[in-house]
Amino acid sequence: MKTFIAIETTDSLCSVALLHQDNILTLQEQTHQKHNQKLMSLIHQILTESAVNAHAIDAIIFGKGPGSFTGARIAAATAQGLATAWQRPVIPVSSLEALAQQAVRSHQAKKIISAIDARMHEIYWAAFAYDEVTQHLTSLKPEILSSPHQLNHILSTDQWFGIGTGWNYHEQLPILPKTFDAQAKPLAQDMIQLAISSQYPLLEPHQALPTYIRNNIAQPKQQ
Amino acid sequence: MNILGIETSCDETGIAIYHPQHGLLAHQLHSQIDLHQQYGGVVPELASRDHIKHLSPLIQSTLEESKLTLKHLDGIAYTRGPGLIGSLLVGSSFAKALAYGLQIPSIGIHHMEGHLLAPMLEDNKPTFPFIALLVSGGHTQLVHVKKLGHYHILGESLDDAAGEAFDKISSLLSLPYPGGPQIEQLAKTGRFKQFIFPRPMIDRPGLDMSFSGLKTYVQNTVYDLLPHQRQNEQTRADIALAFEEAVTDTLTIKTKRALQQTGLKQLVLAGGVGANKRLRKKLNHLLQQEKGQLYCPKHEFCTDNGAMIAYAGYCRLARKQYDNSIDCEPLSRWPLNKLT
Repeated sequence: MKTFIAIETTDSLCSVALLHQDNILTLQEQTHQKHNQKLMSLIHQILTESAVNAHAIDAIIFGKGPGSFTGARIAAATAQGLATAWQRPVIPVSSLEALAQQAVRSHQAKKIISAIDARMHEIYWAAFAYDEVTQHLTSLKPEILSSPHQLNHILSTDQWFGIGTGWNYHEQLPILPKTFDAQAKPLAQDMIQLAISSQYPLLEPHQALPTYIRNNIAQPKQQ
Repeated sequence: MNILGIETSCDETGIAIYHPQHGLLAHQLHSQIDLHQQYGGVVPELASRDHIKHLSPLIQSTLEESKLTLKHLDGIAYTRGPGLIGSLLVGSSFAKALAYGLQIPSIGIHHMEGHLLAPMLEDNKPTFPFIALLVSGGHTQLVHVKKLGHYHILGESLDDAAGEAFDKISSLLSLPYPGGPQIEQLAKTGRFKQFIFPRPMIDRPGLDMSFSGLKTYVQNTVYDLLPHQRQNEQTRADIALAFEEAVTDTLTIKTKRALQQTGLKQLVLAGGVGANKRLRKKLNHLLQQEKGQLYCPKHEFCTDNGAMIAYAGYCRLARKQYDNSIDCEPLSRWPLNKLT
């Protein structure tokens, strides 16, 4: 039986989960842009309440984004620090995939488009299918950054379940998914579920790095 | 007692390990100058992205250099502020998690306290109390250092920091970022008194300074030149020298007043601009006149580094003067005189 701790801070929730003896414990708080002020306390609280010794932890899972750049770095830096101290591997998990897992868990969704508001009238999004036999999510469309309008084509191809803050742009779309939940935020507990399914490799602490997708940050100076 | 120091307040990732008896055991630095140069200044988001990539490998190589392992560490000192909040968050989050995982104290250090204690890493070190002239891209302050944690700001720049003015004039002269070393190099071939720039606020009482007006004066001088003059290497060198003279004269005059006002005879010069040779020479001369002593960190510890953070961490841990809260609260703004 594996013991995993998971941390997720790429949106407004500071979410921590612990897998121990096949049970998943969760703690979360609405911290907005102050995850750093709460994250270590929540980690300490979940370990204390579950009476799990840090040495029992097999790996540290963290939400690598896409989402808030700063939020993803808080999770990555914290995961690096814990993994270095405990000499354990890290498992970076995509926040879009965590949302898809949440759609499966909460809504029994089969075909899912996860979308996260990327600001500047753009969204990070990806599409997934859930196989009930293997109980795995498979990628149908890899993670990209685009305008919400680029969802039009894929929305016309199937009956989808939409999840994530990106669906707040729904008024701009001519076709909508069958159902969508624009309030959902990525959660640490779903990251644990994904990590159990072993789709993610175990990495060295220094490999705990965020995924940004948006990389066009600044314009070089004109001479 | 081995203290790991982590500095990530701006565009340098600095890591070091300090031991009170054996001194500095190891220190390593990753500079982001190449990354930011094409943008003409530090891009905060890119700085944060770079810190998180280099922090862990740098800690690993610093441990290897010191021949220690994590279990030999007794405390983690990290820069809590002031600085770029995104960059501070990377170092602080990592430091808090590492300290929690190792069950050792974490010590949040004021970046400028790190700078003003940096000369303590040298063989010839000052004793409390002393005056510190802190000059960097973000700060220009004259501080009365009574003892650890007791800092009275005697005067400071009311607008641009001296280092910021160096960067802006460097950009004006089409020199790459960062401006300090570039201006210093170009000024070497300059001729004295070809241009005369003002020494701001020296005719006013008090120890406050201002460099924004000087920057505008130099800008206007350059804009008034004919295009061929503006591109003339000798003219550019003359301007660089006149600017360097104006800044270093102003700092020296204000420092002289601070020494005379307090009666103190020891001066610590720290921060990136403290590496400027003309400034060091003038201050050295001043301290000879005043029958005092100038203390400077070695060149590599003038600019941001992990060694000064590790040392400050040791001082605070030894005196039990630190906040060991579990959560991480970096401060982008943090007045030095709020420290205790």
